[in-house]
Amino acid sequence: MTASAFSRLHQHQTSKPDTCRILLNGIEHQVPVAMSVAAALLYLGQHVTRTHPVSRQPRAGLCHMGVCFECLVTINGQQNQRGCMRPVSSNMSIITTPQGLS
Amino acid sequence: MSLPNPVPKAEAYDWIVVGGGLVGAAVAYGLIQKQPQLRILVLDGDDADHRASVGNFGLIWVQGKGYDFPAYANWSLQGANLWPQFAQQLSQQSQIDLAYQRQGGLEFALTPADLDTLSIEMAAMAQHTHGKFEYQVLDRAAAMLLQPGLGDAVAGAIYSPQDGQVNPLYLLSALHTAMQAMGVEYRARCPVDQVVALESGFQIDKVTSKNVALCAGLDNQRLGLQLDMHLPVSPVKGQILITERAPCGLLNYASPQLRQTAEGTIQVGGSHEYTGLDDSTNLAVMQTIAADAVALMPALSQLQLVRSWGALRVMSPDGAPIYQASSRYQGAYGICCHSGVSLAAAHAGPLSDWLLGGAAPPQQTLIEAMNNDRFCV
Amino acid sequence: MTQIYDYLVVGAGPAGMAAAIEASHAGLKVLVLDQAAAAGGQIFRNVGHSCAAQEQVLGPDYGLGKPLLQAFMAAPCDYRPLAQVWNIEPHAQGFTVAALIDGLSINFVASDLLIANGAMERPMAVSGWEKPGVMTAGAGQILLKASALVPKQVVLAGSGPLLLLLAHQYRAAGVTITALLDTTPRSNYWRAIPWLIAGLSMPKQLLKGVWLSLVQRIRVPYFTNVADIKIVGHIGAEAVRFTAAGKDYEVPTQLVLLHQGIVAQTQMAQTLACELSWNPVKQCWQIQTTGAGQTSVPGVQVAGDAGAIGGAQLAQLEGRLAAMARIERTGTRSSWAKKMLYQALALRICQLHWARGLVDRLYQPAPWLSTPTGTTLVCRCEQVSAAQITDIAQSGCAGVNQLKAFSRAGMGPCQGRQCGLNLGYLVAQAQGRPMAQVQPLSVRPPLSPINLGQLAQSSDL
Repeated sequence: MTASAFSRLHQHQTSKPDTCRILLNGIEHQVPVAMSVAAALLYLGQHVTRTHPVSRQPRAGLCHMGVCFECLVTINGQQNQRGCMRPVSSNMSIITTPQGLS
Repeated sequence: MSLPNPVPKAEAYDWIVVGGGLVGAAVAYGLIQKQPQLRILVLDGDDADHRASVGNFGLIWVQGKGYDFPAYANWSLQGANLWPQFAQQLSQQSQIDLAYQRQGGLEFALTPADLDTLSIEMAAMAQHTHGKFEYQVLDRAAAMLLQPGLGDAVAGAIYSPQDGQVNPLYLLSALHTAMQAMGVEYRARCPVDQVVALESGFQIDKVTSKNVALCAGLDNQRLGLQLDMHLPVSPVKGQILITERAPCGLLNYASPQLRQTAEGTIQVGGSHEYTGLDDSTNLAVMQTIAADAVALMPALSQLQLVRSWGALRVMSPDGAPIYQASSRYQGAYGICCHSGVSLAAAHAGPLSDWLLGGAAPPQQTLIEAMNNDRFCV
Repeated sequence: MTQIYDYLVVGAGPAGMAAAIEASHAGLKVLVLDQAAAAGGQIFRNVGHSCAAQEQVLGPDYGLGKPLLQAFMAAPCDYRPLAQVWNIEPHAQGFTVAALIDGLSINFVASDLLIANGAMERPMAVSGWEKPGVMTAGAGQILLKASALVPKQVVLAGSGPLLLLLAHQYRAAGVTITALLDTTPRSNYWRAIPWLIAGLSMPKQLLKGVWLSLVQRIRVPYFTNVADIKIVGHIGAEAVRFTAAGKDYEVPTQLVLLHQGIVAQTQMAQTLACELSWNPVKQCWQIQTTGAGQTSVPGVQVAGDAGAIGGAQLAQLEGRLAAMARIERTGTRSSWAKKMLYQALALRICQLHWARGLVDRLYQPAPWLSTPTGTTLVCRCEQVSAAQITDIAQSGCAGVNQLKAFSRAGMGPCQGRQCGLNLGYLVAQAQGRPMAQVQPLSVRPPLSPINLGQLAQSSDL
């Protein structure tokens, strides 16, 4: 992970200011609730979401609206989930490194 | 609407092959290979036509085929045995890797009774082929040794080392590439409405030829009548599911229920439905196919479904091919079969010899045993 | 016994929400299935929970979604968020819609359907677009709306109102826009001139958008008539190369947002065998409709951007009109006032679509972007390049579906959403055929992901 290319808007205040705990590749992080998994990855500076099964090159989400299937990650043990379609939730485990499958 | 390529009046060919699917392409490829000077035209249909060739499972299968029809049993085995050399030559010519493998195949039985039925069929096949068909009946424990991870539902399996698999789409692509490279003319989007028998030869639209081979799948029934051939084929729908890529080696053997492709995806299938020309998928059948797959191998339940489709098999009343020469119009042939992949090598080889009138006597007998006389009362 | 809905609406954007409000208040049993966690669609995404800072950056048009959302949440209809519709098929009493909700596949039955699942961005296959650090402008806006995330620095490339609007919003949020690369071909401006008058009758918000877009030109480093965009970098994007006015440029950047307009999502309608036609002005496949969004399949309507791209205001009107037509069919006699309203709505919809003619012509995609060449990836899922596609197309293959069979393009998890249009353009180009003759890729279920275990256990509602 590198420094995130994204930051939150200045003076951003949500009606739900909470954060929740997630595990990204086994490491604990706090991220704002209601973010999609794909957004949370960008927020945390995880700019690569998977290794492409054919090219073995790194890939990341393109569309963030469920049509490109590039932000596929393992969520709570379920492989190849679209990160952009799932809001983060407390104690969610997200794995970006493929475990042989993709 | 005009034809994509303007056709000069009365072009003359030696052969017109009607249909550019696996059967037509294999025949055209076989003909041109045997006699490179032949002028051959392949007329193919529209992109959205029913195409069994792009909907099939990709098995090169011997097990069970022709257990009640000795000629078909021998033909299937011969077809599978011709495949290694055919694959090597075709991939060399086309520069397309067909992902051909002959690692053997397993047919799973979910009940002991099913296993018994299969065993009887296999024994019949071995007898028809004078022991050349090889197989083993595996109980559950033996099946587990060959394929770990089987579900509790599996009672046993039949193993045959003579079964194999291929990427059927690449096979079709390779046949198209190779036949065109050798001089076959291929025209897509040229649906054939009428084949007219001339005094000598045939005419389709503005094109004429000395010989015509009908390889038009389900349309052979209609076209056959125009040339006084009874080609009784009807559609049998199969639905197939395909999953995302799984680690290679998850499945060690091909099977009619499950197949792991060279890419790693798992193909799951297929249903047998009599729904006419409707080739759509439906939920109830997809659900059954998925449930059966998970019962066979519980680990598959986690795999994402990537695609599903329905395709229409081209079935004769007894499931075996029909190779018919028109008795009324010399030079007209009807070639109907469901096993366009398994028999591709046979079609490019001995069947093409037969079409050219040069099949060895035993081959000729075998092929002509599969004519339509068996459906005439 | 299976519960049968009178009206099942797929999508809770402006069209779906408006339809559900109208139909449910008229007494129809309505179900809305939406893939997002909250209603609003892409345009009004997260409008119910946005903060003042977001609203200020996004502008007043975004706030227009609030009353609609409130009316929708108060409407007497069933609404299932986070419902991924993966299959639709005919049923004896209408249609079965299978949706994955919380890991379970549930079959819903309805006599009538409204497809209102909106649009997606037209894929922009430039060299290197598969690299991390390349996203779409729509993605940028979604991150802003849903998560209040903005990049620190960005290059924007492409054309179309959304790209320019995002530039405006990003500037308001203090984002450094290193460059804006406008790919609109110069000839488009000439082509659009006759439509200026139509454009003037666009709604005020849209006009303002056009004005804002002009303003961008003097406020950010702006390149026009840009071509040959290449995104280069070792792993992720590091720079973008392009030509403009005959000169080559290279601009370093870690983030590139691409956009070249939006196209309707026709997959659901295709699974139901609704007829499509090629719209040469909008350069996309479009579901054929007659009045009030009626498709060629009885019982199936379409509204909003899922039909003809028109934007939020039109979508809302179309949703409402579709619902009114559906109510009409229950046999309830509409009042004279309702009939007048129906006619007025239909007229307004026509007028707005006409006005849209300006935008459609001005922002037609540049031809070089539709027919990529060389190693540029067309199919990202199966890693198939433009050159591979063109080779197969030139050998005379029957069409895009045979092309898919021969190349694997379109067989990956996105199911051809990212490559389908370009496959068509490349076949049309290689075979000298008009796009309208090149059929779209066939759609194969599932429309969204489901695993074998979930499929095996799917159940009726």
